Amino acid sequence: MKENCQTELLSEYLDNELDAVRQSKVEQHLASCADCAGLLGELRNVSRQAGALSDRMPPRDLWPGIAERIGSSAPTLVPARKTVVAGRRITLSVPQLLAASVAALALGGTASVIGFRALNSESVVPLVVEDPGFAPPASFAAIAVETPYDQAIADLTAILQRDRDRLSPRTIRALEENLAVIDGAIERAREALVQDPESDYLRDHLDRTARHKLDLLRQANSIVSRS
Amino acid sequence: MVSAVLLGVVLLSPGFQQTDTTIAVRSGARMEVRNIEGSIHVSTWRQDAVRIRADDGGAFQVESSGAVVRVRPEQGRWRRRAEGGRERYQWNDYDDGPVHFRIQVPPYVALTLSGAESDITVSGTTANISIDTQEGAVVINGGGGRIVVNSVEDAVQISGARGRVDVSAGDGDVVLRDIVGEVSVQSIDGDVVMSGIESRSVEVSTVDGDIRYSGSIREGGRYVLSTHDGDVTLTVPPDASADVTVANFQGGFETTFPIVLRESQHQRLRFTLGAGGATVILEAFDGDVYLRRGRN
Repeated sequence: MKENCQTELLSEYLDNELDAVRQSKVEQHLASCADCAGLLGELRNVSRQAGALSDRMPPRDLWPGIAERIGSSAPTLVPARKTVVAGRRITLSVPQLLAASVAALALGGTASVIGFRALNSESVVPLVVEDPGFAPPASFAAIAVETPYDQAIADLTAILQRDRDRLSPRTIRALEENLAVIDGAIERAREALVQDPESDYLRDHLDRTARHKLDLLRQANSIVSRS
Repeated sequence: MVSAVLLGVVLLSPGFQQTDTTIAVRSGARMEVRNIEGSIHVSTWRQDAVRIRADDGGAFQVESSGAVVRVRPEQGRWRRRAEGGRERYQWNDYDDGPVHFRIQVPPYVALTLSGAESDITVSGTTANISIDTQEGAVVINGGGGRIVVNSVEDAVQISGARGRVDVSAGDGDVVLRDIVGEVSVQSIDGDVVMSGIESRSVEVSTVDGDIRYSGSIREGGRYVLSTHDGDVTLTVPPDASADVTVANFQGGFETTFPIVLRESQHQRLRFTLGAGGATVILEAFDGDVYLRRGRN
């Protein structure tokens, strides 16, 4: 992560809540910073996975018990950064992304996220309760072969398509050949992961190969911006 | 010569076309050369100055503050022709052909070199080097601190570097020799060959190509070699100590070390060489992995 990375803007960028100037600055930064582009992809994935969940109410109101344990009398909902997912709002900030990811991963097991409640303006926690009867939605099979970089790749591909005339034909050809090599590898890795979805190696390999593509697109956009 | 250099230029006005100029610099200076088509060849000398020449009448602009020297080609070219025993020079505004730079620098000058279609060579420097090229071979002999190379197409060769080496290559082989320092290589279509590497951190990933590493394994070090379509070969001294993980999807694993598998699951094998300590990860999705006993 670079020193000038403003990760706190990513959530607002995701929600289209930035003004045009800041949005443009974020896009420029994303084109040159693989870390932030990857983080944005992870943020989108978490939002997408959370959006795939059905709203399931707990059998009873759990908040009084939780509040008692953490010493808070009443929940305070935060109107700060919000991500609209499938018709509902989920408050997410980058520092909590890891926690949210962990929570989303836990969905494959015996727990479900029943909601996000804010304790204060700076802190958002995913609340997880035991739910042995929970079954993950069928769409999770498709989610499993996505990578954290897919959205960033799509964004950078669109930018490159728009500006490709600024590159020499030879460079375009070289980039397209390299992208074809990577796309073939990604396809093979996806197929393998579908065959063996439990393989950590195949998961890592798919992500790494997608990261190759992200980095190549980032490099290509960097060349465009210099030309 | 030296006085001429020192009097020569502290600040050259932009727009002044050069084919040969020498500029005084001091320790800590940085040089940026941005070519389009042609080549950039950088070598070292013992003067506290940089000399920039463009072959074949190529023109360039120079800006210098003493701390930073910036060079870029100028569209146009001097053309020479013989007329009745005399030589006539004619400036042609519309000649935007390749510019071939020959540059001499003190070893301490950090270099930032780029070229859309340019071969780039650097020899003998001891400072940071950053190179960006779309098409063109990159050859570096030397360098220190941090060496960064981004190439879309063509080969990259680096030898004798002392410092961190970061290479991002598209289509072309990457060859690293006698490197002391951290190594990171990301390649798409080409082999990555490393020999004489002394490093605590080596991370190499390619999509379509073989990876070969020959060098030391240091205690507590981390060595990750990963390819999608190709073989991975690691050759290390007989007394190497490492915790090794091997993974592949379609392919096999061969070793000349006696090993006892510690763990085997889902395309992954784990075992320990010697007393362990270093982390070695060898991955070939569609290819074989070889772990070979080299020499001390």
